[in-house]
Amino acid sequence: MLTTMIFLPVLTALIIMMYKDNTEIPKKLALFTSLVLLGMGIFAYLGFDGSNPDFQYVEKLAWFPGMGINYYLGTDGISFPLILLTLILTPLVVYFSWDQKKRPALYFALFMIIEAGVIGVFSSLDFILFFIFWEIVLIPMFFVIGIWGGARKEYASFKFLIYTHIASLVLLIGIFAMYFHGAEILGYRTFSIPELTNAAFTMDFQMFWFPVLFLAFAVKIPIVPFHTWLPDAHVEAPTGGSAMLAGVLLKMGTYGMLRVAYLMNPDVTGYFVIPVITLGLMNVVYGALVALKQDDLKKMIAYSSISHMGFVVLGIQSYNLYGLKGAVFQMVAHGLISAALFMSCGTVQYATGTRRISLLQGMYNKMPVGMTLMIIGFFASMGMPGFIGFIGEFTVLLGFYQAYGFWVVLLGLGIILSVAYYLWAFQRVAYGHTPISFSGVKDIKRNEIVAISLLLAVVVYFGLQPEHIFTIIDGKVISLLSGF
Amino acid sequence: MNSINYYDFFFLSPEIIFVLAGLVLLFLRRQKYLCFLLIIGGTGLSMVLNILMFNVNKDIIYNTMEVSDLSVLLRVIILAGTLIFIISTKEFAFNLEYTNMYYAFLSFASLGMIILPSAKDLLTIFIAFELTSISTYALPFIDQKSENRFEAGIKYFLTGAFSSGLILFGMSYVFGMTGTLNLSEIAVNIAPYQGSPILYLAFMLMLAGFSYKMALAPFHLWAPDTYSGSPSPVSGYLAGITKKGPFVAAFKIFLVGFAAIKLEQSFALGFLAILTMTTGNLAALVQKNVKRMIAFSSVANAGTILVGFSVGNLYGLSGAIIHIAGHLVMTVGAFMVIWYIEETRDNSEIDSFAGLNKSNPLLAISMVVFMMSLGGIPPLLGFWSKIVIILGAVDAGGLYFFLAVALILNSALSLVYYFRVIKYMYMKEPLVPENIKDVPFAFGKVGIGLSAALIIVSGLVPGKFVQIVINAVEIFIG
Repeated sequence: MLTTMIFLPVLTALIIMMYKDNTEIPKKLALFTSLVLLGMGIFAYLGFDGSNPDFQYVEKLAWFPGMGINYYLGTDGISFPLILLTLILTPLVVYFSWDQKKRPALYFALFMIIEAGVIGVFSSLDFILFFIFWEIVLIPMFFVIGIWGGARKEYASFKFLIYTHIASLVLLIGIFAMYFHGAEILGYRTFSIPELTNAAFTMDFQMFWFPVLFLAFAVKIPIVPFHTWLPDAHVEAPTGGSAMLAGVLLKMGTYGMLRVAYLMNPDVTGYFVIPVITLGLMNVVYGALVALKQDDLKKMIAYSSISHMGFVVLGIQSYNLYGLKGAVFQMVAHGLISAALFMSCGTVQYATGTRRISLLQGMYNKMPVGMTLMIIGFFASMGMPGFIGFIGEFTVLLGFYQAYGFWVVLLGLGIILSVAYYLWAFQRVAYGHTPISFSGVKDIKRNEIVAISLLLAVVVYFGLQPEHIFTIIDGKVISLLSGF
Repeated sequence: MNSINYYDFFFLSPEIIFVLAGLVLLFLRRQKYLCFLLIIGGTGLSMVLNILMFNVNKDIIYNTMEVSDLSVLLRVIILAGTLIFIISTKEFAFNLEYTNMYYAFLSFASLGMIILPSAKDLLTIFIAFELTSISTYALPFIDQKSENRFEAGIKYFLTGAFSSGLILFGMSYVFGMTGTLNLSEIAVNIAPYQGSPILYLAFMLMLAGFSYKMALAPFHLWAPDTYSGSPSPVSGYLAGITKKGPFVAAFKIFLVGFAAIKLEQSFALGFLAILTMTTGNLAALVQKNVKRMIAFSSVANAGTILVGFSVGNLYGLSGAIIHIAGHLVMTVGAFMVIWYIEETRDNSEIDSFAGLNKSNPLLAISMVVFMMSLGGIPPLLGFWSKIVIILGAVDAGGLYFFLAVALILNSALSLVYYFRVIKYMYMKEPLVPENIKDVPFAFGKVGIGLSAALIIVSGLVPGKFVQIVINAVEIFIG
């Protein structure tokens, strides 16, 4: 099942590349494959046993047995929601980019490779395999930003590549350290994630390597002050690229942090409460404050991403039932919502040619549908009850309050600030007199409406029925905490 | 023991093939195709014979040479690289006036290259080494069209000759101390001299000589000039294949002969490694000419190989050998792409690569494979070699850990210029079509495709190859 999910998109990408000058076939193939994968995902969801904390859909083949490297895939309550997120998001992003005229074959092929790589990251149970997928995801994203990006696309794509690559290499050293340390404890050498997790590393080892691994993943999330690549990458990336970047690529960071930094070094997390909480709260509050002063709509959404990813980190650090559940749920929630936001931001830019909030005015008169979709997205993101964002943030707040009490006030401040920047931005963009220069602006296109509204429909559906996601998370989280 | 066993001739057959092929080639002035077939056949046959010698592990001709898994493996790697090189330079060779001389040089150079890994004494190593060097001294001059060939060739010759002198000087001290030329006997006899200045003097002299040959910073300045002045295929041969000779020689002399001062040695090599990687990468970063950039990148990669030697444990050495193999294939492939660009667009400036994706998609994707593999992007061969080296360094622990960090930082740094090439190929608008000439390049494309396929396949299925290397190294270090 998981192997097919990884290699079918790769195969599709190869086929797509053969239709170099065709504008029709690549997008149809990409959509078809991503829908097939979504179907498989739903099928897998129905067969997934949420109460079982073990890995499911496991596939294991010897790949390089001499060094303990295996082709080892599987998914559990932490990774499966994220795989579902990827599967839901990709067809919508592909459909949103339906009108891509510039080198469509390469564009859609790269998105297929991103999908394959991200699913690979979420389902690898072998460190080397994990690392390979982790790195592979960078390359198509580099091209997406560099070829279809905005004015400073080359700078942004290089910054993205180098910044995250250095972090990956730090991760690599950490992986090797765990490999050798695990070999001392287990008596044999293996890169298997579950086996190394069960090895129970010594305290000294954890004390040294937990912060290193934490920092390696922090760049990807990103945690302030390692976030500077993100605004550049988002601002320059095409809309589809931004949606994928915010939607799933950032989740790789939090997923890795939970899976590797926390679950493999669970005994020392208590010693790092103050730095981690400080960083997490800084993410939430600093991200929100910077978003408040942005004049660029897309940059504002990018900073709001940073703010919302802080919730995930704090949920993980709380390390109790609500904290962990909330963190995983918030990853899914933020993935869906931020993709929707970047899409609606893209529609505004497409229709008007600018993203400057100070230039836009009275857009509601010109694009009523687009603005309606945008405000729904804003509501979802600011944590309105009834949307998926509310459930995620609220659960994290509960967990955080249980663990650290009073400091939850600062998290609340983040939510309040998000209301402020979203509503203020919307008020400036949508209301008022439409300037004459925008008199020819048309409302958004049909494929854009379909993509965004389907995404928002998912957001509302899971906002009203969060149990559908919580059931798959619960078993794993409860078993983690009971073994603690 | 004191008579040559005729059975030994079987083990010498790969060398004998090259001697014969080289001699015959000297007389085939007109028959270019015959020359081509002869050298391809000779290299291929020699490689097959080598593969038959796996799992033999014995010493031959008075203990001056050995047939061990490691030496056979290195020979097969070198010969495979040479084979790819010969196939891809067919068009280049046929444009030359002296095609037979070119192939004869290659033949003698290969002879030296395959003696090196199995040589067991200083003199054999030196002779093999000089055979390769002298055969290649003429190569930068071989294309009469190339403009900078004199600068390139003279620099290569002078530094080569000078460094050979240094090495020989160092060897004479070693002989004076130990009274033997055999490496394993040297290792035993040298132990009492530990701490004596003569030993360090000998070591320093040889290290300096080999550093010239390996183009390690600060002895590397000849390399970029030579590689960028020579015709690109020749640069590929010098940077990719013959430069691996000094590595093999230094590897044998230092690790076997100088085992007594392992710690000092490891420190010196580690220091040079960091210096070389950093200098090479920083210099490559500012190059606008891709040929010169790859020349500096091969300086940096020499540092990467040296990290493995400095670490000196099972994984370190295996990683170094895998990197030798990988770098060989990648460099040959990259220089062939550069040659094609030079032939069709007159120069190898980075602007000439603009839009290569449009005109030659397969060539562009091969270049992407070479660049990514050099930069260590998974799952290509360059990734595995770096991973195994880093694995070795982390395993060794202590100060070696910083070596791993230096390697990693440099690897990240190098991505900047490797990806710059990719950026030009995919993200810039192509040149006006009138400026692009058409040249026959069928064999070149086959060679490039073969290299790219090798890198991808060995990256996707690393287990077999890496395991063979590790097993061979395990036998070697005992």
